Amino acid sequence: MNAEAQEFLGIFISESYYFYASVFMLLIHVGFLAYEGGASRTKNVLATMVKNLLTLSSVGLAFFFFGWWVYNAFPLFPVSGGILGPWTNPATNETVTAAMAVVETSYPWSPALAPNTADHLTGVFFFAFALFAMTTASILSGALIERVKIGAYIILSIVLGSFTWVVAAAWGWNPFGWFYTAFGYHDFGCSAVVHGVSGFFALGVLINLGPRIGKYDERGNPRPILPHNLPLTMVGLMLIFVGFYAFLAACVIFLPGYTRETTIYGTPMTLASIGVNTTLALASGIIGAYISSKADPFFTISGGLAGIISVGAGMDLYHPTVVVVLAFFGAFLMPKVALLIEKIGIDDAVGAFGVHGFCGLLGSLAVGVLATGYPQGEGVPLTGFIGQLVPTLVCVIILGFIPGYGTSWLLKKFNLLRVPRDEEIAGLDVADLGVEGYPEYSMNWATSAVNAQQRSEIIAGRLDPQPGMQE
Amino acid sequence: MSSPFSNPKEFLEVEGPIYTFGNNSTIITFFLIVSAVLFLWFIYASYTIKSGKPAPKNPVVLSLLIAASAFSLASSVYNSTVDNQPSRTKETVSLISSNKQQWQLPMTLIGMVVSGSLLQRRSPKNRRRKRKTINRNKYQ
Repeated sequence: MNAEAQEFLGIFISESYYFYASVFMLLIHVGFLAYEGGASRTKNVLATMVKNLLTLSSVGLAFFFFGWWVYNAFPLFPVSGGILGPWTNPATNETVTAAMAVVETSYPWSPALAPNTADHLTGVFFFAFALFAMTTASILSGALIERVKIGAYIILSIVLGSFTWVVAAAWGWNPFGWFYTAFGYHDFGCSAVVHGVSGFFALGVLINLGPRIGKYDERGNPRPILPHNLPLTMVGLMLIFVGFYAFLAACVIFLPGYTRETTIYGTPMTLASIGVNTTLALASGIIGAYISSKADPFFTISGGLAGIISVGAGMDLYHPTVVVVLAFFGAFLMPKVALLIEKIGIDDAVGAFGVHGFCGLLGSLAVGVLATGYPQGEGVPLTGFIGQLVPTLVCVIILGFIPGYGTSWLLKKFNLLRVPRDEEIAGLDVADLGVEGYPEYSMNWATSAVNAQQRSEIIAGRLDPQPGMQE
Repeated sequence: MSSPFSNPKEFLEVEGPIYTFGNNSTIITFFLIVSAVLFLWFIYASYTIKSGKPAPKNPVVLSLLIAASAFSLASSVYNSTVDNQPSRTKETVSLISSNKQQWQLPMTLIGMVVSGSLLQRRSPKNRRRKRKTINRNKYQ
């Protein structure tokens, strides 16, 4: 093989690696589709799934129009420079010169994203980041099911998936980002940058959106609204797990000419450590939530995700035994947090705040305790608790909660946030789409007020069906 | 400090382990013990949690049964490794291992089954108490 062919092979391996990692990441969206569809009631199943599907469109296009540029243009702003764009002089200093080389490939009109034999990598990195962005927005969609207007969700998904999360990534994940250069922030698997931001964004929206009709009784006590298809929800989460392996693999940097894999911060790591630590975090998280929730199926399987998110930020550094203990701890606390949120009057339909917000916060802070003292580069502070705490708070409050609360408050003021009461009662499938998810079957049983005990007695013939119910 | 590195050059050019507490085997051992305890707790909980609440069992007896089962299983694995000496022929090793497994595997299973069957047994008093208990698991 001649030198030219060897060089091309290096490029092709990098191109293929990010391409297929991103394709597998799409399984996260298959999983969210099944997870949220199963978690909704029968009268809302199609609307929930369509809303989830539209995330690919709203975030995909918005990320092309401005999201990819935001990631490359915001790392220095506002601490060590301005927002980089066509107005910036690349010769300002060495950092700006290096950063501008990337910024210029991220404009929607850039030839780097078009078919171009001179650039095999910008496009696959765009693909990977677009999938990160869609994942972030999908975390929001589950929390809001059964009462948000589709238009409101699309606006919120664009704000979260194509702007606030991307700013967090620019500051905390980009090698030029000031979280990293000024604080030594380390968040390999995006615990705070993705999950913390989206979980707290969802919390802000939920405060304005309010609970589903019937979620709380007259005295304000929460009532269970059961998933219409718990097995589908569990399969959905399994698909999310598969996608998460790809998500974490896509966080590894391997470029043509490299002699080793690195994190986005340029520190050494191995893909093998992701294989071991993700598997252990998944296993340990499931048992943590299983014990904590007393074998609740919904929380048990969410525990796997909680475990992975709890260790995500330091997965490249943690010893496997540390992963087991930390993932267990995060997943053990997750159901308690979800129930606390419910108790104070916030109806988070899938526990998104507990899984993503709380565990993302925990995972990011844990690096400051369990992986403290790592040097990351010349002139970059060591990893430490304050170096994790300040950026994490910026992520969850300034880029998560405040934009979520503010955007949804504006939508609420213009009556654009929540569906009308009669549509919510009738179900969004009929109201929004004009078609039922399960037209062959009567759904009266699922939507009636009878409880499971009464239904089982009716089936057994010990009780007559009540008015409005069909046999 | 959980980092085994003192400067960026050392970390960025390392050839070998980079994991946390790599310079402190005591802490790794501590985490390993905690991990094992959590795993045993999981096995114990899988027997005791029924319909969203822990069943009233004697945790000491149950723990002993689980530990006995685990030791029996570990013993069978250990012995099969020790028996795998190079001086013996493959056939002999295979025969001895299979003979041992014939004894030890059923013993392990018996231990597990006894644990499970004891869990199934409830006194009339407990049975009455169970009927009165409200299912607190909201998502069941």
